[in-house]
Amino acid sequence: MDNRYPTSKLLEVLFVRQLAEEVNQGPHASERVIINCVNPGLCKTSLSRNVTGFRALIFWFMKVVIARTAEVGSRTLVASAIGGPETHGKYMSECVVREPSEFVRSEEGKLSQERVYKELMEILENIQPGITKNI
Amino acid sequence: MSGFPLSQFASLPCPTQPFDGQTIIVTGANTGLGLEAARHFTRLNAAKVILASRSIAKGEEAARSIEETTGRKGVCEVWQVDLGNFDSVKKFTERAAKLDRLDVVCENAGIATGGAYEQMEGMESMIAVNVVGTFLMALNFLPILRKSGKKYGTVPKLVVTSSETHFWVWTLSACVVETQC
Repeated sequence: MDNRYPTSKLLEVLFVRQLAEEVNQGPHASERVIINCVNPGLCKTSLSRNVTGFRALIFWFMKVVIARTAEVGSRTLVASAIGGPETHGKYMSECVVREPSEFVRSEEGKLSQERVYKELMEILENIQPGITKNI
Repeated sequence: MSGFPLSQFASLPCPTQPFDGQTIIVTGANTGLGLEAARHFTRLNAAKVILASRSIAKGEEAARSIEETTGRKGVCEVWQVDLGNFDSVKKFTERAAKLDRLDVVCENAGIATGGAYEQMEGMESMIAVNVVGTFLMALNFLPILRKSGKKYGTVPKLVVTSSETHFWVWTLSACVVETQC
């Protein structure tokens, strides 16, 4: 469970990478939409409000010492919202395109990316039949 | 500046590029990053900024705060959505399909539950909200964004708020998106 939040964020990075590739090759490739993901950094927001115990103490300390304000963190979202074609499928951090983790770039990461895409598309198709035609 | 924690000290430019005429949706816009991003978009002259929030009351409070600091009235609208409820996500995007124009969607909403195991829609809640609900929404937005892009000759954007915490995960177990692991 401890890894669940980072895992959910890794799944986002992987899915965005694969989704960007798939829409580039899909029937609507000519009607362009830029899809990217963004790391806002550690910010003074209420995201960690449910964290308890020793971890809460670490968060509190990190927030005091190194966290950005929500306003400064939000600049990364705005930078992604004006991102050009070079940001498509990419992971952005500090308002520019950055490399995601080594795992994401590894061979195993690539395989996981394809598997996550396939599994999640099946789940989405079950939730809303026909939705995968939107690719 | 490279990785965390040094990256925390990177100087981030305050955005200046105008969003004239644009319609922008920000999820999780009642607080934190979503609220501040929505404030920037409003300040930068977006025509319509839709604040998506689980709570209408909190969304309205955010809208008032943005109106006060930017001096721009009638730009922000509050729409209810709960990423942990897939019917709510579908209704939200059905409503968005009626917009004349849509330029940017910031899928910023997300949850961190701490250590507790909670379920939503039969899945672990962070996976339900941050992943399944988020991409259910994303896929429903694609045709809406394409239509607007075609009509206005623009390239719309879909931004997902992720995190550098993804660096902490070195492998994915076989049961990533399933309910119990």
